Amino acid sequence: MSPKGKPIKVLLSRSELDCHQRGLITIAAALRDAGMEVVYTRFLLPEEVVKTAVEEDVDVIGLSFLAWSHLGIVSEIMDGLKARKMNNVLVIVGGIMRDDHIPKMLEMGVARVFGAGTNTADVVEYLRKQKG
Amino acid sequence: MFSKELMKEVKELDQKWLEEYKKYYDGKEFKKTTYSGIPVKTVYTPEDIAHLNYKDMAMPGIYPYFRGVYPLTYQAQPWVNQQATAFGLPEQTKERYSKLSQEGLAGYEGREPVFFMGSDMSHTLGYDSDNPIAKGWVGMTGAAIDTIQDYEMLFDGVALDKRNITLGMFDTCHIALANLIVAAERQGISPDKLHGLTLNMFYRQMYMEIPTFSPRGALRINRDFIKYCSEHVPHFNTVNWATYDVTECGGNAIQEIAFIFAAIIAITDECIKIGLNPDKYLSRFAFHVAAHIDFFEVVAKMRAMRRMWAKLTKERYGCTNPRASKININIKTAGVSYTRQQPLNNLIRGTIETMAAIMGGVTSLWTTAYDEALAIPTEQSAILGLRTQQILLYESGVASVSDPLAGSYYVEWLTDKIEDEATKLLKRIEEMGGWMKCMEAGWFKKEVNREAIAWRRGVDSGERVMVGMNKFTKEQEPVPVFEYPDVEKISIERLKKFKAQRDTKKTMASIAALKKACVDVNEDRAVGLVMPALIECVRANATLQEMMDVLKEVFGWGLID
Repeated sequence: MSPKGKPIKVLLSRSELDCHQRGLITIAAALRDAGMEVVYTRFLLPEEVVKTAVEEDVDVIGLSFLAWSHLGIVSEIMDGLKARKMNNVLVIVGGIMRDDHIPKMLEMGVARVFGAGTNTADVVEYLRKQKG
Repeated sequence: MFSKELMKEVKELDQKWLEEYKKYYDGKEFKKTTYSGIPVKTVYTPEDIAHLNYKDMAMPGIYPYFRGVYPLTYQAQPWVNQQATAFGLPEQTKERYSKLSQEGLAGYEGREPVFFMGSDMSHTLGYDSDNPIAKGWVGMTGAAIDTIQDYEMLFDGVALDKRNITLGMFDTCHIALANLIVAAERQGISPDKLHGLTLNMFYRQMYMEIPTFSPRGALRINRDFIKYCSEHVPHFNTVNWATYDVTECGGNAIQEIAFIFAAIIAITDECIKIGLNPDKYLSRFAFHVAAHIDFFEVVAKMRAMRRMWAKLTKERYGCTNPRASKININIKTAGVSYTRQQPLNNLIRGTIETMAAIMGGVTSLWTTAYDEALAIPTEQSAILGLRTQQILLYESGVASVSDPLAGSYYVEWLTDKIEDEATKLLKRIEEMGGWMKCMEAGWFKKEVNREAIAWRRGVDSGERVMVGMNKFTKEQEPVPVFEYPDVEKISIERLKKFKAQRDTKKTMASIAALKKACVDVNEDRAVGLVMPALIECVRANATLQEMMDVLKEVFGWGLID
């Protein structure tokens, strides 16, 4: 449960251009099993993620990247969230990415980067700690 | 298959074994399954294959070809090294590939090495470099290729009549082939001299969440494409049956075969409707299969696929041309079996999987670079993928004998089991209305996703062991990275200049003609028009997106949920 007394609401999203859905599909199943509410979308432009996050009033945004497009897209999403004053939304990122890109994303305001091979239980536990 | 006397001896020995087993292990059961969840016994005997006829097992090069499509497997002609490496600008892709070729890349008999190129994700979905949707994707995990000018740079100095070209472009493959034809034409080479294949995977939304042509539109454009190619580009494979991707998305070996066979039946039936001869066009189909970490399952799967293919072509479609019943298998070692943790372990996984592919009778082989789970492969890791194959070929002896595991009670049983289960699942799909119905209902995707989730649970709980990831773990070490800077910027500038220099009126006229051709084909008024219209567009300097937008509009495009 989130402080609002409702289940933690998570927007899971990935680019329509990226054919790798497996990570996000399995994360979605794990979060639902843990009682969280999951909104699952795909986007063409980063601003679509911000728009959905606002409309759905989510607690968390989880983004997945497996084809190296993450830096630019994450940066635009973080800027969009700031512009919409969505400072309370926790943004997490997962997928295949270079080690040296992780600190860059953290600097942009991403709360945590989960690499390939992460146990989904770790993601559940982390979100409960942060938003439960 | 065995005499009564022999079976009696088998039973006696079986009994003796059972007594010994009970003595040693106190009757405790040890249950194992294959990677795909097929339960296996602890030991196999002639009893497990007694129901098979020796005739069905045949010999390499003899129908039903499951022991191999040629009388010899590698002794006369080793498998082809089909390592893909494409990213950055066209000339960068070419340079990386030339370097890899110099490391001893083996091509098809008497031909230069295969040039396996592909576009980045935004381009494979038909977005030019300057589209805002493509921002951040240009030149990542594939080359940035917008125009005929880019293709000419890519093929500059490449003898297009001597090299097989693999066009890794998915739904933009028709446009890619049109570009290749025009590039060849400018080298003085006619389309009938071109050899290669398209990664045409029009069906891939079965298991993958990626926009594609609508199922109906995909059948229409591709039957048109197949007709054109069988008449004008006869040495080019028209559709690539990527069971590989079913596995990568989570599917098991049974689903991998049954799902793809359902799609094969759909397009084959569609081609028959327009009067094409299966004997001809089925010979230009090939499989792209995953070698996963379960060694015996991979070998058995490859053998089962060849047998199912041979039966399908002969029994269902009445093919009499042996070439149509012989299917070549391209293998890529499974990316999904690799781990980000302790990446050098992936070299071991790649070796096991490569060996399975070889013993299964592979035609062309791509050993995945060990760092694929981390990043775009470095030059060094790409070469190691090739070296894995070379060591197995020249040093290990695994390639000396054709179908070396034939006759193994376990391998023969598993081959038969996989074929049997896949045939049953295929029948179920047909009873549900076939490929198109199941596709539109999103049934395939649901099935694959369920398997993916079950796999994840198994890995998370530790029940499914992945060494270095959920067992024997240690601190992560950084790995070297590979990148080309400024690709997006340069690509956009080039595109802008290209558009400024062309005769726009002529380009737009070619696009209008393309639209008319596509509408006629889609509405069943004509066949064989799309490719000639695309070739005219390329000659008139149309860009990828300008052409693809027309195809999307006419044949339908999007995600099925």
